[in-house]
Amino acid sequence: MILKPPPIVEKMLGIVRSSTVWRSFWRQGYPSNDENRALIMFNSLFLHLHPVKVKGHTLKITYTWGLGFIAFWLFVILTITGVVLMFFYVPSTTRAYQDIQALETTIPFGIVLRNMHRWAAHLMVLIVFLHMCRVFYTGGYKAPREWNWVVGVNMLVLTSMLSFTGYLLPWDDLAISAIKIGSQIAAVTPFIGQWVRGLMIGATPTEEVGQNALLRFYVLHVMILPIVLYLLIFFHFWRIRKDGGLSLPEKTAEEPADNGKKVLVN
Amino acid sequence: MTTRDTRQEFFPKDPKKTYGLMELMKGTAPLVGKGGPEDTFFSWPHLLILELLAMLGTTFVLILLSIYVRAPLREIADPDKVQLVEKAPWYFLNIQELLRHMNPALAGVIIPNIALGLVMAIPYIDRSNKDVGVWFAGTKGAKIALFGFLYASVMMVALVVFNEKFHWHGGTGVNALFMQAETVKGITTYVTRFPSAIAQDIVVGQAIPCALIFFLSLMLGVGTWKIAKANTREIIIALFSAFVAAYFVLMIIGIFFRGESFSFISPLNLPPGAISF
Ligand code: HEM
Repeated sequence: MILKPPPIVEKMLGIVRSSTVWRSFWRQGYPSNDENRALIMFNSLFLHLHPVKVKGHTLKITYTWGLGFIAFWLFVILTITGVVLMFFYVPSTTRAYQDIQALETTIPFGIVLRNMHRWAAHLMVLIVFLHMCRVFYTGGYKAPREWNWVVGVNMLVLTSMLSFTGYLLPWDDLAISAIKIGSQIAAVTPFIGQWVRGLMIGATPTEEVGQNALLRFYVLHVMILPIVLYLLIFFHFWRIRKDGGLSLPEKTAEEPADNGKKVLVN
Repeated sequence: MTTRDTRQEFFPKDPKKTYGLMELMKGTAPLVGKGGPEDTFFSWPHLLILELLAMLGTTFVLILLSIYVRAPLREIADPDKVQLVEKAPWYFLNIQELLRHMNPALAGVIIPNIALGLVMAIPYIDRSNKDVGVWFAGTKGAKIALFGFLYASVMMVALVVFNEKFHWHGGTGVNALFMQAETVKGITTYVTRFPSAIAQDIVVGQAIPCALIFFLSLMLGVGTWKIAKANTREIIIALFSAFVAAYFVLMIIGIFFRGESFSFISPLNLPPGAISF
């Protein structure tokens, strides 16, 4: 049984829905018929990333496991929690650690906020890797999707770099070990090692991990890398559309050819 | 109105219209052979409801996790303090594990970059469009994937254990293979064969690891090709699975089997703070 609102409510809703303001925002009625279902996909900024119709095969959970979407959603959560964290954090070697402590102890839900940001970051690295495995094992990288695969690998690298740069920010023991190892690896890059290390942690090649490193990692973490990753994500999504949606198995018929061998006929 | 012989023209132009049908051609349209319109669904609601569920599920799991599991916060950083356990974040521990076994530039920079480059090159090596959208390209591919995964896992564990646990004539791991006896005043000791540390690094740190990686991959590739009669796609499935296995096995060793100064240790004896999430 469907509950019907009392007539007065329906009448008021009707007035609201036919008002100029409402119709300037929702340009179509509720998507309960095919026309409106198509229109809403065109009309909404967020929904228009999707096609109006999709293939049944790509809706199967066991095909994509939703991994790409979950990675994207984790990135959105990371952006939101990250921006809130920025209100409570100063990237200074004398303040950063105390700021994190204060966040955990004096700010309502501060600790949950920090935990969410941390665990979402770890999860995202894992999920993006698994998404890559999904695409590989279903052959989703094949023509015309080659370039989206290449972009994807770069997004995997960016995701780990985002996670790594964030790792330094609490300025604790864990952070400093990680960055020390990272800068040691950078330093052994053939030919340009010292330069890379200098670029990463300080103005001079011999500088130790300190304020310069913290500030650099901070700017990379909250500005440069997220912007680049968002650009690549939207390129990735746009490319999925341009490549004709998600990959699908070809429906092929087998017909015996003259030489007796089986060939594939489209 | 001009009269036209409509028998000559298949698609006579309607003079009231600015467009017309020119010609019919044989060819494949984007939908041909791909299930046709009967297999399509409106994104609203079919796709969006799945996205909504994924959003809610992810958010729910994340909030639960964040309520019950606390993110680590160790002591305040002191760049001069000597730390017992120095570990990178877990997703880089595979690289840190490689650093234990070979030349640092090779382990930390060259191998990871070559691996990334090869992964990016996959679509340009496997050009066939067969088996798109089929998990593992079928059951044979699934078996090959499993084999490649197990092969690399066993090899990685064996190599790490050998390099850590094989002691002979005072040497450990690969270095032990290059010890020679030296008798000075009747007392026999074992010393390394290498004339210099550089020579040792070139052989043990660079040549042997490169040769091992190359031949282990080659054996897997040629093996699946010749013995399992695999095609390009299946050979790449074997190699990619081996890469994934090496990635995870080395990472797990780095997380659970490495303690103070990254020494090889049983997970039961891990010092406090060795697991670095
Ligand atoms: C921040 C990281 C990433 C995000 C947010 C993301 C997002 C997505 C989404 C939402 C899809 C739609 C299908 C699905 O959910 O599986 C997709 C498909 C795809 N992704 Fe990603 N992705 C990421 C990283 C990667 C990586 C690392 C690779 C490969 C190395 C990759 C390669 C592809 C390809 C080739 C497709 C098309 C697959 C097909 O047509 O079957 N992506 N991605």
